Amino acid sequence: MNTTVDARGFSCPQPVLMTLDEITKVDTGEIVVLVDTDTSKENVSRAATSKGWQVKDVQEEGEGYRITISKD
Amino acid sequence: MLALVGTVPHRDFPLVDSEVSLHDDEVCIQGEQVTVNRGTPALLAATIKAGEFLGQPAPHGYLVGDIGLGDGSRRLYEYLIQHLGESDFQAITFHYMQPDIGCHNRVLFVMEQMSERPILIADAGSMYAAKMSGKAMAYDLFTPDIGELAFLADEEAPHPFYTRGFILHEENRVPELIARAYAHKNAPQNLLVKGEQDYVANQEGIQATINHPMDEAMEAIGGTGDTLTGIVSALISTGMEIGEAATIAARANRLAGHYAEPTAATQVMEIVSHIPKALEDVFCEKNRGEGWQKLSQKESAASALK
Amino acid sequence: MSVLGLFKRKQPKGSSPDQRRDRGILVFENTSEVIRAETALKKEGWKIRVMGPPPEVRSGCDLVIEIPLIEELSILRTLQAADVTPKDIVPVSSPLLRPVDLFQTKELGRYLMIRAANMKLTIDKRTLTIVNVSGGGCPDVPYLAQEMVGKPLADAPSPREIGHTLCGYALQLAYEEVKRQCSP
Repeated sequence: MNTTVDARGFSCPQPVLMTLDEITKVDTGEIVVLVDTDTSKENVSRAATSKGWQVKDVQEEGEGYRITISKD
Repeated sequence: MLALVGTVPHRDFPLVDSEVSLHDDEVCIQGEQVTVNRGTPALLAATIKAGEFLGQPAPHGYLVGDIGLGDGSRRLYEYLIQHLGESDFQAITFHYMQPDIGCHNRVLFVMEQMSERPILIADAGSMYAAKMSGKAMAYDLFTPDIGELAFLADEEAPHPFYTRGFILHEENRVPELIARAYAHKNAPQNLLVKGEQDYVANQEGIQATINHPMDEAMEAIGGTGDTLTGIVSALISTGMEIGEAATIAARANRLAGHYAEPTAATQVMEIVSHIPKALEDVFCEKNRGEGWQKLSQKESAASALK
Repeated sequence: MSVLGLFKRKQPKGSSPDQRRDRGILVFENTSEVIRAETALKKEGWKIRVMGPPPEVRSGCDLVIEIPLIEELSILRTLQAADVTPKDIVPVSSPLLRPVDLFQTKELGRYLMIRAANMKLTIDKRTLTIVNVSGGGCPDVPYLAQEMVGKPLADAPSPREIGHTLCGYALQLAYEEVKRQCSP
């Protein structure tokens, strides 16, 4: 199951909260998070890891990043 | 990045300047440990727990041992005077320090010379020192309880011990006390007053009142003010607007306390452990109520600056 | 060296017409010395008052002892015997601040919480054990809490013995009030 969270244009801590919201909904699987600042990229990665998710991939996309997190 | 400044109640605890972490009920910094209990250790633990939920990096701690003689505090003041100017913290929270007007003013001077002035938060002895020095307005946030608000409101009192009897710390007088504190320039840009009800205020008056859930026992528990200051510090360090951070922190602190099923004998670490869940629930409430608010990059950058 | 030789009497700046020339204040190095001096003087029956210092000698967390100047010599002898020496004696030149003397009592089920100034002490009424200390902002507060919480009221050290600041002094007032309310 693959879902996308578009957190571009949202200020701290919304990207983290939106990610955590999605984590709570899906429980396992893969989530793609789109952010547009370095700070959000780091915060989202940290928050996901603290919930037992793995940061599978981080790629530059446009002026921001596409972060893929997953949990089995 | 957030820095927290304060003392721990062990005379021989060395002066440390490093990232802080939490392992079970111990705060760890630069190879030293201190058990989480009322005071700056509770502030550190709450900030870390809140920051973990918010995806924030670990805060930076400037700590020293001081059991009230003031020797540790003076060493830390001197250290800050020498080193704080080189830092680039977005926000600094000053906590349990021996109030000393001269030392306080020298540290404040250093911060005011920094090219990017950090957001300044003060509670406990640091807040007393700021008010005693006549420099409350230089700060962005204080987190007094109602007795300490009365002290801020009493333009003659150098310490809460001397608040004059007619300036009563009663709940129904809070708007009056806040107005009086601002009238005499003894309040910072924002106030988060903790009590039976919590108040978020600024020069324009009370902006929010938070009173739910209400657990009477919280007043007796040492450290619940420290956890509130820790949560609001973590929220502010994300760039959130201070008034909003204060409102969320007040609600989250009450919820965390409520989840601990407190009695007057509850110890603060039990409350700290519930902070992440409390924050999650507060943001869920907010989400249901308001929906996500999109800010442009310019607006969010502007709100992070003073 | 005689005790008298240690002090010079300072002339107050811009003395007000209603200057209380018969009162003086003993200024100490730190608050814990004030507490020791107060204990020693009260033990000898001296009628003295612990007060807030006037602005010209204020530097932070302060307490001073107000004394009748005429008794200065005898008072200094008492202090010398107790091995605590004031760093200065100045005449009272402006109104001194009075410590808060209001207490607030709150029943919380089986617990009793007493507030004095900015400090709160809570005990279990059934066991008379100190269960919590809250409030304050001076560094001795967490230390006092560490030493007192969990101990029976009768066995816990008093803040007067181990405290060092105004917050510690306020906790002492709360502690005395708790003892007064809980004594048979």
